[in-house]
Amino acid sequence: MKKIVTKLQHFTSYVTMSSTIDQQYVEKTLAGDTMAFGYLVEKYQDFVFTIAVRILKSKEEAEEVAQDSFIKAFESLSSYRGEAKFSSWLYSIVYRKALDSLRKNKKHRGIELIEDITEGTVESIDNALQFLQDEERKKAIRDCIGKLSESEAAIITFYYFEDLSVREISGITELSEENIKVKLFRSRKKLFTLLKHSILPEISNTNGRAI
Amino acid sequence: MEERYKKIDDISKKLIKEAGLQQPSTDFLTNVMSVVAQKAAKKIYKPLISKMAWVFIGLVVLLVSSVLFIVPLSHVSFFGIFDAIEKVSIHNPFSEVKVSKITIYGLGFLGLFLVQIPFLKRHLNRT
Repeated sequence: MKKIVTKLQHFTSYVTMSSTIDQQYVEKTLAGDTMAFGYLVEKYQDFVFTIAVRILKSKEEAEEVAQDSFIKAFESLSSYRGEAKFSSWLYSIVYRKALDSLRKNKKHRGIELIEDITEGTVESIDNALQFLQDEERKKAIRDCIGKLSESEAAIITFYYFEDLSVREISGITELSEENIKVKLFRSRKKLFTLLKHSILPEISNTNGRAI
Repeated sequence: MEERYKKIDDISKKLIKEAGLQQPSTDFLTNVMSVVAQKAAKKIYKPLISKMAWVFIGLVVLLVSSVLFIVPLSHVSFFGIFDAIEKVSIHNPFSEVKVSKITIYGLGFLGLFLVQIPFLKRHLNRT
């Protein structure tokens, strides 16, 4: 228990430290030092790009949206009050911009395939994944995340990759906390359904009976 | 139930972390920073008439008007210059020209169109 508490304290202090450093760079940028903004771009470019890719499902469009998001962040930096973390504020810009771009192109992707997933299925998916090479495994998971709907793919990444709380995600996406929880539940189920179909074809072909 | 949920949650986290992040193209940072540099250069707004110049203009206006107010120049009519204009009669060369209603509407719409341009420009710049 003590170990967990110390770990948690360590993590919290890391998060606070990281956001204080961000705040310093924000202030430097506002004072006219544009190179300070370069630090923030470099720090967050991969995550911002990943969120854009997961929403738009296209690297080219994602690159454009990610770039526009950073420029928008720079332009409206003076309106950033520091109430939320800089990262959350930035993520809300890219989330909104990516959805806008999707709406403009009137594209809606994502599948509606959901099956009941048991703990056993999840474990066998996990086991089967371990047999794949690192790169193959990464690709298999990425492909399945790519098949989730735009908001589900983004929310699952915020929650599991960036370890954001439901409340923080609600602030970024402007969806209610209840809605986020429902979306998380659905996207997890969808992800495992997709993984099951892509890496466990022998199980799904025989209607749940393992050979 | 709680245990089962936790296991699924843990595996989800492991998988999403394994999927990792994707990198944008190598010149992403350079591209962003070149646009940012352009925007920053534009942001430094230098007014055409500096603050000092405004103060100077203000003082001159104040001085002239107070001089006019204090020094009585009752024998000089301010409107005298208009009398001179009245005396000169210039024949209006356009008095014979008749403009049709359609031309007036046309000019009116052209005027409206020209007025719209700055609004549209501002709107497009914002988006």
